[in-house]
Amino acid sequence: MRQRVIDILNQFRGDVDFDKAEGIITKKLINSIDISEFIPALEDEFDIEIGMEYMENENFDTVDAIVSMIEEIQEG
Amino acid sequence: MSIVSLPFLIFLLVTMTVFYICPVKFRWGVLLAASICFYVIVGKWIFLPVMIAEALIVWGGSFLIDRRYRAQDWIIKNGDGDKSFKNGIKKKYKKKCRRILVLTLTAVIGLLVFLKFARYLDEFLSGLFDMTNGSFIRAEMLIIPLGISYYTFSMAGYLLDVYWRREEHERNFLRFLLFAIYFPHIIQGPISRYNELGVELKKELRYERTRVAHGMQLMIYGFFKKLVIADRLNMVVSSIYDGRVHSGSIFVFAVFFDVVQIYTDFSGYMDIVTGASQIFGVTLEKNFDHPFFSKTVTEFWRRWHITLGGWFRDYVYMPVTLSSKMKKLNKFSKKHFPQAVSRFITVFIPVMITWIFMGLWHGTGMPYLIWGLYYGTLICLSELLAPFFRKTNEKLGFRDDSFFFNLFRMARTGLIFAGGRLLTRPGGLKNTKMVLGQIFTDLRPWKFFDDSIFYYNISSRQLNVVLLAILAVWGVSMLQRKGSVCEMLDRQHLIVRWAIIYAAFFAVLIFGVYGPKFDPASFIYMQY
Repeated sequence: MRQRVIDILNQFRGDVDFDKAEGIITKKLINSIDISEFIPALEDEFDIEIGMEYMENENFDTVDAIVSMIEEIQEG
Repeated sequence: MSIVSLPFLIFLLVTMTVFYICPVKFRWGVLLAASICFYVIVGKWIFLPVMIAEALIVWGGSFLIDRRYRAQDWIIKNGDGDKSFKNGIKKKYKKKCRRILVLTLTAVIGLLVFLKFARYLDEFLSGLFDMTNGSFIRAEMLIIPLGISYYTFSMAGYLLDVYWRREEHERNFLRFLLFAIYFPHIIQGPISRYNELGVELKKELRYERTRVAHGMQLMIYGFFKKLVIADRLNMVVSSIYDGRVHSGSIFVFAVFFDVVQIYTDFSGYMDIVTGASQIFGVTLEKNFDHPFFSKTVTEFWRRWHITLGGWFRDYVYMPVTLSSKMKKLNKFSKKHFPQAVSRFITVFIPVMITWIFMGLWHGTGMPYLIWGLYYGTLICLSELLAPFFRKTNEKLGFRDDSFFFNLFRMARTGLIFAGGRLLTRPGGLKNTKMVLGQIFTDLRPWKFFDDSIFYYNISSRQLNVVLLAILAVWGVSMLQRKGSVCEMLDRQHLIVRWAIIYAAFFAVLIFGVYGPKFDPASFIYMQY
């Protein structure tokens, strides 16, 4: 799952090593316009719906945080 | 009572004395009482019940939403753990909560919209019913309560966060009221979030000498920006934008001075209130981050009025982007259109909706609508054309870390901002057209160097003072990028430190625009 998330992120910024990156949102590695495309891409890839309750920086700031969020949504 | 007046300083001193005499656990109560007094003194007494009623409505909505979520959690906890059962319950309760949310938001945002557009409604209805003897809507209903755009947005943000379960319901209404009415932020922001200001106000508010001293230093700097620069320039800019035709060069002065004025006015206000709040141990959210160092217009709006931009991003842009209709549209466009067109749709619609609302938040006339469209279009274009610009810059050899290239980009951003101001500041689109016409067809550049500008409410000495003050603010901004200037001051020798503080203090006293002869200009952002 981790690699799939990284692959999606790399579609927006191929020049960033997201595997180790921290501050994907807070350090503006991807901007808010990228996020608006990144979230639907995640939803399609993992067949989930990311509600507004998850729209917090900490849920998107590292790949690990994104993976945890997806797992939480999948568990319901 | 203006916050750049002696009565405000006396009010602050009295509040500070009572605040620190009181035991720590009652100090938030002192802030609440002081905030209520402040709101009544600064505005009209009638504004207070309107404000409290709005706070009650929002708090009531939050209370009801919280109750439903608690019921939902209890049912899920005591259920059989089946996933479809859980999802069914969540869906059912979400629907109930949404109903409360919509009703509450309709009430508070509806009031804001009504008050903002009441003037137009009144004109329309008066015309329709031929009201020759007066207005259709009673005059008292056309008065906009002080700070309503700011506190409504703060409270609406809190309610949405409770609905999205990003925020806990505040059980104590008086605590919630303090968050909404807290005097340093009620009139002109920052548009605070409950998870920031609400948390700050719940801390143990203890005396800390350094923090109080830094707060006072920040206030002096704010007074310097407002009284020495902004209010002086306001006199010049107002006399140029008087609806009459002047030479293009005089209008160029006005454009430049107006940009400096709005920055020093608004950021000066923020420094004063942030400093005042710091005296009580409460940190306000940052609203400015040296916007004129921005290289793009998108970056500019991340650094200018940060809390407003953040509010629109989180509560308008993201919900629109992630709405099911928008997602369907994106999927459809990805399937049927080339990538560039599909990306255009993804970016364009939410950005334009957000910026039209941003424009209408700033004002209700056509100039503000065009202002919103102006920024929306520029931001869409800069995002969509970013890859093209990157390639062009590479080909031309412009490097991102080049000093001169970045200087050019900052100047370009400043010009774009000045263009936006030109849409709203001269007073109507007709005047905007006239100003632009004069700049491009009747510049008369020699007027930049003769005495022409001194016919517009400013003397040669005053202009020199303002230019030196602007230079000082620029110097401080450069230092602020390296860290806290107050802490840098602390590290200086006692004599140097106090010499700088006294110099700033006396600069305000000697060069500031104040006193019985002058009516300090209202802060520009107060009207919103």
